[in-house]
Amino acid sequence: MGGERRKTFVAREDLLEEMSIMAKSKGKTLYETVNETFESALAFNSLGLNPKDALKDCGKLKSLQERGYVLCLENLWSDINTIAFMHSKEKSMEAWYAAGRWLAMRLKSSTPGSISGSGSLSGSARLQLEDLREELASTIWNLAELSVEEKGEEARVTLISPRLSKELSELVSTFLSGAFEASGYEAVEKSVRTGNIRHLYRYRKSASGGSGGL
Amino acid sequence: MKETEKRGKKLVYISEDLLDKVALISKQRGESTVRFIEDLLAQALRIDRLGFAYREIADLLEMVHVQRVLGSSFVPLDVMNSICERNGRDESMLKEWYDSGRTYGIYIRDKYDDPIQILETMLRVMRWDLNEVEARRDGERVVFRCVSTSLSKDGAEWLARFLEGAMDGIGYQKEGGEVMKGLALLSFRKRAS
Repeated sequence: MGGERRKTFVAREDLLEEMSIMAKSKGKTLYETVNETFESALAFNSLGLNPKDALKDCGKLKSLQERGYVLCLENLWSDINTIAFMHSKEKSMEAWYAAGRWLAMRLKSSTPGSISGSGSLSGSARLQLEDLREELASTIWNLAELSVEEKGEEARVTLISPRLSKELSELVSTFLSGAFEASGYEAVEKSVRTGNIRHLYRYRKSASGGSGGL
Repeated sequence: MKETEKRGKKLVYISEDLLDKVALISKQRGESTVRFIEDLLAQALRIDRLGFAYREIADLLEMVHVQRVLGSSFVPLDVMNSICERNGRDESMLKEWYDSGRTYGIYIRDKYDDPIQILETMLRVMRWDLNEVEARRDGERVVFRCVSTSLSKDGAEWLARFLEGAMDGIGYQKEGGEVMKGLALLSFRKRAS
């Protein structure tokens, strides 16, 4: 390191100040931290990776981590769910229903103004279907089709994924039921076939599910 | 752009070799070197704010790529834990984890020069409920240490089977280990080829 030739470059002062704070927090010098950043950029380049895409993917990973997801091979996930389903269909469905309910409550409670002074969800809090659609789209990578459409008081959800087994299709359907029912919707129509889930819901004014889900 | 220009500029030192290489890349991309470098610094800061180490990002993205190739999905940890709680010791379930690990192991053995390091990163990416993952190497021997405050005994068994499968796929056989609530400590030795 001692014999290394150094050069100077010019960059925005605010960026360098932030880099300096970051370096200090890690017990490093600015010189070391900037060099590491450059080394990583070169490694990205040699792998054909774009740092901007990297940033996007890291943001997504972090967000999914915080939302309680883990990565799992689809085959494995399908098989362990099938085994659990065979052992106890009721208990499996219960777990998936609870996960759907939890998701809906989490999404609803993240809406500004959704929590009353007493800490409970306000009656007017309503699941933003676009949030639900985004959540499903970001967690299931091999979706052939996903749509969550709202028309007046009705919501129609279509999820098509040929890789879903019969059992997993039923469980994902239960997950969706949990999410919608905890959000004040009642099912009007449900169709579940292997890899093909279609639900139609109607919004009930007196939404239940505000307690116990969080 | 104008706002950027108004901001103050400062000189900073960098290794000459690295600066020359980065300048070359910016030229190849048709971007100004100063702008390119500022973008790199801004991205490094954002990645740090997300809680990742910039140096690990390439590995992390490779892992995402492996997961996509092998057909992974993000699954709710609560459901995973619920299944584990109810069926954790089921032999067929344990076999599924072993087989899944083996699939990963074979893939990364064929694709990467250092599959052990890739497996270590992969465990960090796949199982976010793990607080620590470490692969200690000593010649032909590798000891994997996985720690999690939220890992149940059965969850640790699943993880251990997955690891055994993965190491088998890479070319190592299990020597021994300790699996308990919150900890999986497994020792492997390279198989004679």
